[in-house]
Amino acid sequence: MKKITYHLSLIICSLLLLSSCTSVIQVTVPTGSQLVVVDAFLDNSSNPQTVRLTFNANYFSNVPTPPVLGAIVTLNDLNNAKTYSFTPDGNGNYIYTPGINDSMAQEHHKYQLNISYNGNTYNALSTMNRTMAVDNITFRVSAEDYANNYPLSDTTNPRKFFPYVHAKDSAGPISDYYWLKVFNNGAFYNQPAQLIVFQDGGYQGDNGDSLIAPFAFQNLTNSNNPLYRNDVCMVQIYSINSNTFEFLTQMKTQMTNSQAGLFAVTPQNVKTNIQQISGTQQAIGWFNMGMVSSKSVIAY
Amino acid sequence: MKKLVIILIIILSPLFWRGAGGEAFAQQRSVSGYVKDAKNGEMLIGVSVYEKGTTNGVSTNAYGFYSLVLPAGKHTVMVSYLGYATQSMDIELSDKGVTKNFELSDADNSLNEVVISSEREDHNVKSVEMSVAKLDIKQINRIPALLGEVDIIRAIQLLPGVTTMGEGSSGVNVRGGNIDQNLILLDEAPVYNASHLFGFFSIFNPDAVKDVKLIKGGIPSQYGGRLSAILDIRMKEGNSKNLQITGGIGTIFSRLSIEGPLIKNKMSFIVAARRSYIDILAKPILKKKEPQLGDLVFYFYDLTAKLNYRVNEKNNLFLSGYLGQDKFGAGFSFKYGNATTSLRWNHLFNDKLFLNTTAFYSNYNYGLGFTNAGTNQSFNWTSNIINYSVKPDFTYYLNNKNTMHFGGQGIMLQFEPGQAVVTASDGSTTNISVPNKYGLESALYVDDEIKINSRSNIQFGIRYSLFDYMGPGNRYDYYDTIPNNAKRLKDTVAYGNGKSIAHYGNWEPRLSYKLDLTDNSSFKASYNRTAQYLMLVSNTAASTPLDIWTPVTNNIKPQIADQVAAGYFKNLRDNMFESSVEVYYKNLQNQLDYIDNANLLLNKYYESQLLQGRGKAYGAEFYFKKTKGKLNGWISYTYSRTLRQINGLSNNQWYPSKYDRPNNLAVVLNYDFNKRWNVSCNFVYISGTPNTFPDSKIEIQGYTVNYNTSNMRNNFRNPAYNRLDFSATYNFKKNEKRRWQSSIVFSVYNAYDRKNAFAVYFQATPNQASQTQAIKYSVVGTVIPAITYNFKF
Repeated sequence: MKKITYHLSLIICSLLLLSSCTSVIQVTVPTGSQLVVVDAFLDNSSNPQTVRLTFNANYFSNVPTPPVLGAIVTLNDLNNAKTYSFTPDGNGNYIYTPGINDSMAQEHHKYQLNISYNGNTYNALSTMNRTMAVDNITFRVSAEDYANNYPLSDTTNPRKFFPYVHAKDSAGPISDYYWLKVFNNGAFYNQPAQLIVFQDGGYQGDNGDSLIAPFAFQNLTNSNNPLYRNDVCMVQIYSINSNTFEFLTQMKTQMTNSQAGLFAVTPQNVKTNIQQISGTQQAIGWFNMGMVSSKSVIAY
Repeated sequence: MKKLVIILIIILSPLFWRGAGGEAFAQQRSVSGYVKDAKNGEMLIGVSVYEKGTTNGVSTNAYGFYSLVLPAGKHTVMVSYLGYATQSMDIELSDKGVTKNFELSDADNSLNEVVISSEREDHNVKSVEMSVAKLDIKQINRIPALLGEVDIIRAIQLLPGVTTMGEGSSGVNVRGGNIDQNLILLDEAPVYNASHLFGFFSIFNPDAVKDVKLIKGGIPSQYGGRLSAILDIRMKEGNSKNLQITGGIGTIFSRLSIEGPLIKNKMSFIVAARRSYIDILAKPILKKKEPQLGDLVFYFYDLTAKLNYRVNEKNNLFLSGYLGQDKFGAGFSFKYGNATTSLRWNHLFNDKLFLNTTAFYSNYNYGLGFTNAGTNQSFNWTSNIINYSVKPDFTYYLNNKNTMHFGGQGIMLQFEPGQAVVTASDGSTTNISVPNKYGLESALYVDDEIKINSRSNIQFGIRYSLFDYMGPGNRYDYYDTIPNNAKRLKDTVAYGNGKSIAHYGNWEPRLSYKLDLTDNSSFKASYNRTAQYLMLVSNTAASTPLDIWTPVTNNIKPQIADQVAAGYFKNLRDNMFESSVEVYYKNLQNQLDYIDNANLLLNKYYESQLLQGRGKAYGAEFYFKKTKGKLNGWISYTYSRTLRQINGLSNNQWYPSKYDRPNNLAVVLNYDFNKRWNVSCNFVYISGTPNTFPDSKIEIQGYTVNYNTSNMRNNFRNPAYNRLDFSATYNFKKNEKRRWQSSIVFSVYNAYDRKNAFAVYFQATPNQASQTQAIKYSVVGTVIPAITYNFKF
């Protein structure tokens, strides 16, 4: 859908003698009130689990968002009454490290995140949904490279690789929601246009590509950010719930609005699932517990 | 009780009308007939027909008909119209009424025996009408136009009280109203989207248009169904004397129209067509620049046609039609267009009672689809709004002080918001269509225009409108929730064919008053209530052809507006200058807005995403026009505000609506050097559109997202819009022996290369996720020169 509206806008602009359509402008907007921003996407892996707390920053200041220090962060498993405490690293990250081959999270359990900071307390709820396995990752070379047929040894014209993911949606009548993340040599590929969330492998996936399980995802990375030979490509499929699906869709809409041209919506605030229990300082952000499956393949 | 009193007044009102007439009814005689243009036989609208030396007079109606009631005896009747030579005629009224048709000639090539006078060019001052803007096609033709193409909607944007969201948006905003609050009528059939190319051009072919009238206030009771304004566009009947061909070759499209008599003075026709060809010119360049667009399709066309048949002195028939389509594609397809047909029958029961009955069909359609190359995957979506309507409208010329209108209208509406099918790679299809909706809109109205004395007129009327939202369809009930959250579905109730799901009715009183202050100045005031049962659902920055029309439902209440307006009108120097000042205030109910992050597209539960609340709009409009002389043109300035208060949005406080643009200035100047050359320029300045600017960024999962901590909607404004355009027209020397006439128009649009903001967006700097920037999106980012060649023979 987005892709179509973007192309439509392009055509319409082009009609007017190919006049350029966008320019960066200087805007002065006073800083708003200070909010606590909760960024808590936790999973069932044995990796360190991080809840990041920051404050908002002026949109145009180009300073990083300041960390929230001195907060207390805990997680309750409401099904078995276990509590996990998160340790601050002094940089806004609150970390819980499960033991090897251990996990704090189990499928279908309901979790409550508790945060207290400076006399304010907040909590948030999330249920852990199932995920699907990543079957395989394959690569395609760009059309240009294919046409030019540069030898593998040519280092000035290295071949560009684009990953494809193959997976099969879990069966059953319930709707499953997923977030597909790509990591290149361990770095999360955070291009807003490639924030891929989807439902049951259905049409609401990336850019209108109609996908029914078993499926392959294209456009995981854009042409400006290719992978090269011997890069390690990791793909994670992380389960989310329907509210998180909506939240991430809203985030993507806001971040890619400028590409929609004539069809762009007015800027709006994304929702939050953080509830204020006491205190006066508002908190926003999101909490999701998800199961994760992943696979790493070397581009070759 | 209140309703009963109003009904009683309506029933008893004919008694008052006779009383108001004052004179004994038996002695009244009438002179009636049609007024035409001598050159081509076109019926003329709004011509003054009056008794010399008195204030007894009427104007011709939309079909060129007049009926002037006078006492028996000898009279001199004057017929006058701006730009035409005034005619006078002595008549004697004995025991019967007299039928008299007139043919008016252009003022500049008038014959000697006709008296030339400008006595009645003061319609703007003397008529009870207010908040009305009329543009005649001669005037529109002279305004510098985008890509040299004369356009009615773009010309209207230069009038007081009218703004748009900028190039690339469909429709106009009148006195702070949304674009769906204007009723656009093409020969009385409603047009749902009057734009070609997303609003760069309108669908009205200027070669086929006779008269354009925009009513912003004091809306007579015969019109209804929209809150803000009526744009009444009348097509030409076609030259009833000679075959005539008119055309133009422009930068972006070409026009051709043919008109002429089929049976001399009895039957005539006009057929006008346009087709764009920019796709053919731009394709090679575009393909190089944007190769991913692939096989490119983009063009539009329209066809306008009309046939009229003067059956006899008492009956006229008109059949008009419009068909137009815009198509875009590049690995996908997108199209939209209108089709309208209207059949009208004028019948004269006697010299005082005129009936026009219109039956029309209107269909607005759009569709979107794509196919993934090399796979079976595809997506197809089509949408329609179909209307059928019958509308009888009577005019009763009781006496020279009293004219009455009454009639009714019934419209069957069928909404097909989305027939959508997804085809997967294995060939299986999923139907994600949104169900159809049906409605019946009906109305009865009566109004009366009375001359109280030689200085004052009053027009009062009432309209009762009804809307039935009907089955087959589902009624969705939702739980109440905290405003600005999507409502949760509670229950779905199915309704059978023709069963009423929701029903609404509204009384709409209308009142206008005029008082002459001096010979050339007047004071006017009006009040009107209007109700609206269909609306456009759109949360994009500006409206696009993809927006969805919805009827009122059990969850969406009808919108209601009450407007009061007052104005002072004065003409100077023998009507060489017209000036007016008008103020208005509107109170609006059930205005539509959307929850944050609303999901409206192909969502059958879209009602759960809507909010309704209060609105108000007010403003002052200043207009100064020089109608004659080598230098002519106008200056229009409007100061206006339009605000909303909707629970759940903007901390429940008043906020500017997205078309709130306080300052709006337009200057249009024409200068005739000589018979060959004339030049024109126009300048516009409009405050920027309100926008919600983020004051903060937040970080989630390595993404930087904009956030507005104040939670206030439309808390800032985009940069102001301003633009200067020029044009120069050269009229080729006319060969007296031949009918060929031609001209060439040079135009420059956006002369000082202003990059006006269509919208401002916020995003992370590409490849620098932690840095953020504001992006101004300009649809027109350059100077646009153009040449157009026009001809006529």
